[in-house]
This record gives sequence, structure tokens and C-alpha cells, in this order.
Amino acid sequence: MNEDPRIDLDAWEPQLPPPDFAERVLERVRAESPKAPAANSSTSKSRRWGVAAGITGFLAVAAALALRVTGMPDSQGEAIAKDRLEVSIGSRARAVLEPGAQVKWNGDDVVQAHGDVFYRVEPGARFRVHTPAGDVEVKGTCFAVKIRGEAPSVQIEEAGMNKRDVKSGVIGAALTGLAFVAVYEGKVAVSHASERVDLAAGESAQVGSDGVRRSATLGEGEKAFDAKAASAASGEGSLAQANDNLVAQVSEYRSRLEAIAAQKIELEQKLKKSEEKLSSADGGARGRSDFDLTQEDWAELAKKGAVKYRVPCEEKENWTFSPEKLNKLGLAPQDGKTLRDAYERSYQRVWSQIKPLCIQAIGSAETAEKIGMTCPFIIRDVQAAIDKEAASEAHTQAAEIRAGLRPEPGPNDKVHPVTKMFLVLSAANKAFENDLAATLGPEEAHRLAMSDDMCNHNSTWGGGKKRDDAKK
Amino acid sequence: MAFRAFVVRYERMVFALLSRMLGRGPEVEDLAQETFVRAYRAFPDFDVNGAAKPSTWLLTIATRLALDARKRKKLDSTSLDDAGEASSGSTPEISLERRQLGRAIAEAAELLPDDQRAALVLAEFHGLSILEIAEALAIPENTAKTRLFRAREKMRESLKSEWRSP
Repeated sequence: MNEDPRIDLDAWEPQLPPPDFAERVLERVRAESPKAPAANSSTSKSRRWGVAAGITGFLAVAAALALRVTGMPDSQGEAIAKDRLEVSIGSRARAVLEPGAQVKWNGDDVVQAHGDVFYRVEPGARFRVHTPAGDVEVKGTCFAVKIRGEAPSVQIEEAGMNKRDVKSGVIGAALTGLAFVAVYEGKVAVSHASERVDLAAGESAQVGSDGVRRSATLGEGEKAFDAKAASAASGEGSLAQANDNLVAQVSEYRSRLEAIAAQKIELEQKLKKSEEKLSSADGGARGRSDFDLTQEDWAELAKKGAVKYRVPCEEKENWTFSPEKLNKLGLAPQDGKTLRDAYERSYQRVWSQIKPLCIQAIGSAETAEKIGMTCPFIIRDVQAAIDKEAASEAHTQAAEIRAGLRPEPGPNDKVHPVTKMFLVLSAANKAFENDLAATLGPEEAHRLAMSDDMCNHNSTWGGGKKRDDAKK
Repeated sequence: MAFRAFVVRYERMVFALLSRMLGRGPEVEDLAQETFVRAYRAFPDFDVNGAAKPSTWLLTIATRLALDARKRKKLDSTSLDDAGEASSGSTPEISLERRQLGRAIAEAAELLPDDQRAALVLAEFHGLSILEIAEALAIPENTAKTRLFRAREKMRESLKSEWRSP
């Protein structure tokens, strides 16, 4: 035998999946009866929730994976989950109820009385979740709501209180009920009394008698919520425990004050920078959208190896806006056709450029059509699998081109697929704006293209090669 | 749509593992479907921030299904891999040679105990580290190392005539 023998193991070729394998899997998943998910009882809830939080990129997958399909949607209904249960709410929302959760709905109004529920809501009119602690309002998103302290009457009765006390106890408890809202995609407005806080993807908030408190991250927010809920649950009727809670609360308030102080310093610095920019700009527009990026913004993104963009409506259809929606956007009913046509052209323009990259990545035009605009994730993944370093470099180069630090490639230049993809995606909204401008004028087109009330898909990608300042 | 993309992304990898563990046949697709369905159900428990990559996680599910399937019934050696089609563009001679080599590898692998075969497939075809193999097979790291070493030794012995210098 040779000292360094080699054999071509790849000659042992594997069986390939049939072309419609993914469809078969999906059919099977759909056909699955709603039996309990495998092996999740021993896993902590926080981990499961953390999972959903981590899914923003790969992404909507988790949201989709968290759902199991049941029957036809009802416009009215009620569900109480003994085991994990998925229900369709109206025509555009699905909810996954953890054991013990309870929801009741009428159209797009949901009352969540107990427990932990994950929601996925397709874009459309307002969708509201009312909880004992406050209300959550969304347009189209993935988010979760956890409620604690909502059913204290049993504990109060066991404590031997009279009927009157029970009543006031229940009211009191309802006021001290806690809700936790975590947003995985889209935007959510959380309101309590007259207070209203908007949350974006990756953010969370706690809602209680002390109002709506935004958390720094999903993980931190949930941790604080669980600690507070556990403390509230175990502290009833015990003075010592109450004192402990008070001490913890004081400590928590102190931490919050410190965080606010730090935030204040940060905001003051940002304000100072903004004022400086304002004074140096000759009357430039204020209140720019997060996706109205200047070359300076792109240069900052390039340093971090990031790419950020807004793509108009990524769906293949459903570009029609209701008269109410048009009115809200400050448009006349006849402008609906202008928007619809511009969206359609935008989709064709973007997909015609992304599709070849998608086919190149997965090797099938048919599959590319099925995957549609989910494909950018796969294109990036596949290129990273081929050459991680090159994909990372290509990622940042796209930001540098947008920053004007590199020339825009010509039609015959060889461009890395990842760079090409990000150039297409980051140009999409401007092209849409230009299209609208032909009918509505440049100012109106810009306003609409930057409006969060339009149908948009916003993305921020990290993972590109970071540039250090010295290099620049 | 997102789950379909996930399946498309990993279907070849899962088929590759299962067909090398079980040999070609309809059972491969059945178990590949089962792998994705289990992944779908268990995804909320997958720690995306943890060390395991989605691919390693899927391979773990598929490997365990394959090992269970092999336990349930001792597979008929005639159902084993026929080494598949040669890649397009190869000459008939190369194609035949590759098919023969592929068959020889499949037959040699079939002689391995199931756990050694799993370690070999995970290491050689899917690039898993010893630690990842140990986790996938739920065995200590040293055991994984030993199984892989023995598998390679046995393969080398069985394929003596096929070895050639680099």
C-alpha cells in the first residue's frame, strides 16, 4: 500500500432529490395534523423565543417554521391552547399559542387574555391585539406577546379575602398585569393608556401599570420580563418578598436611570452631530428616512461591512391600494393605478436582474421562480459557501460603490454576484421613485418612496468585510 | 415560501447523507422528507445563536433517522448504491471507471458497522469535525475519533486495489 494513498471518494455518487422534492415536503407539512411538536418540552421557553428572535435573516424561515397549518380561517373565534396550537385569525394572520394561552378574535381585533402567543400577520389594514396590560397594533409583521399576572383571582380567593376584596383584587391585578411584546419583522405600535411606543424588528417592550418600556434587545427585554413576572408571581402575600421586590424595583429603576443617562449623552452627541450637519448643509431637507441614504451614509455602512436598502413591494402581485390607504397617503383614488403600475414595473425590474443570479446559485429556473425574492439570502449563502472571503469582500464593495468610493461597474465588467445583487437591490427604490416622478412629480415621488406607509421591504445586511479607518 | 427555500437549500445534502447511509432507493426520499418535517417541527428549539450550523443540525437529524432505519431492518446488500450516473461530459471509459470505483466504495462502506459508516460519511462527505460527529451520534469525542479512525482503516483495507498515488 502507498504511504500516502488517495482515492476519489466522490466517485460514490449520491442519490439526487427529485425536482419537486421541496413541494412534496411542503405538502406533507401541510397535511400534518396539529400534533405536538417534537421534543420541545424540555427546552426552556426563553431559548425557543430566542430562536425566533435570531431568525431575522434566514429568516422569516423561523417564523414560517414556527407555524403549523390547521383549518380554514374564521373571522370570529376563540382558542384556548392545552398543547401548542396554531390558529388562523381572519384571512391574514396566524397565531401560535403556547400551552395555557387564550385568544379571542373578531376580524382583525384580537383579545389575548393569557399566555404566550406568536403572531404572523400579512400586510394589510390595522391588526390589533388587546391585552390586559395594553394594546398592540400592527400592519403586517411577525411578533409575539407574552402575558403574566392576568389570572390572580384564584390566588386571592385562596388567601381568604371577602368578595369585595376579590373584586378589587382582580381589578388591581389587571392593572398590574404584565405584557411583553417582541417584534421579529415589520413594525408594531404598543399602547397603554395615552402612551404609544413604536417598535421595529429586533425590538421589544414591556407593558405594565408603569406604562410601556422599550428594551434594548429582544433577549434583554425578555429576560427582564421573565424576572419581573416570576418575582410578581412568587411575591404575593409576603411582606418580606414585597420588600425584596421593592429593593429589586429600586435597583431596576436605578439601572434604568443609568441607562437613560447614557442614552441622553448618546442622544445629545447625535443631536450635536445633526446640528453640525444642518448648519453645514445649505437648507437640505430634514427628517430624512432611514433609507434615504447619502454617499456619506454609504461610506459609514461600508466601514462596518453593511448594506442597507429598501425594495418596493417584493410580492408578485397585490399592488392595489384601498381608497382609505390612498387617502392616508394623501393621494386621490385615481392615483391608485399609478402606484400599482409603478409597483409592477419595479417588481419586474428587480426580479429580472435577481433571477439570473438566483438561477446561477441554485441551478434551476423553476425553483428560482418558486423562491422568488427570498433568493437573495440563498445567493449570499451559496456564494459564501463557495468562497466566504470573496463574498464578504463583494458585500462591502457594493456599499463602497454606492458611497462613490469605487466606480460603478460597466455592463461588460465582471462583477461578483453578491456585489451585483446588492447593487440591484439598493437601486430599486430610487428607480421606483423615478418611475413615480414621471406622473406625480419629483417631490411627491420622493415623499412616497420614503414613506413607511407604502408597501416596502427594508433590509440591513451585516457580514461584509469591515474596513478599518487606517486603511481608508 | 421561506421553508421551501430552506428545503431547496439543503435537500441535496440530506439526500447525499441518506443515500450513502442506506443505499439508493425510495427509502432515501421517505427519510429525507421525514428529516425536513422533523426539522420543521423542531425548528423553534434550534438555537440559531448556538454553535451548531443549520446544516450540521439537519445532518444530525438525518443521521439518526438513517441509523434507526438500519437498526429496524438489516438492509439487503443488493439494494446498495450503484454509484449513480457519471457526471456529464465524461468519456464512456471514465464513466465506467468511476461507476466501478463508486460501486467499490459503496460496497466497502457497507461492510462497516453502522456507527463507523455514519462517522465516515459525516467526516468525508460533509466535512464535520470530530466534535460535531460526536454530537451528531451522541457519543464521546474520543469514541468518535476511534470510530472514524477504524472506518478509514477498514475502507483502506477493503479498497486496497483502488488506492493510487496522489
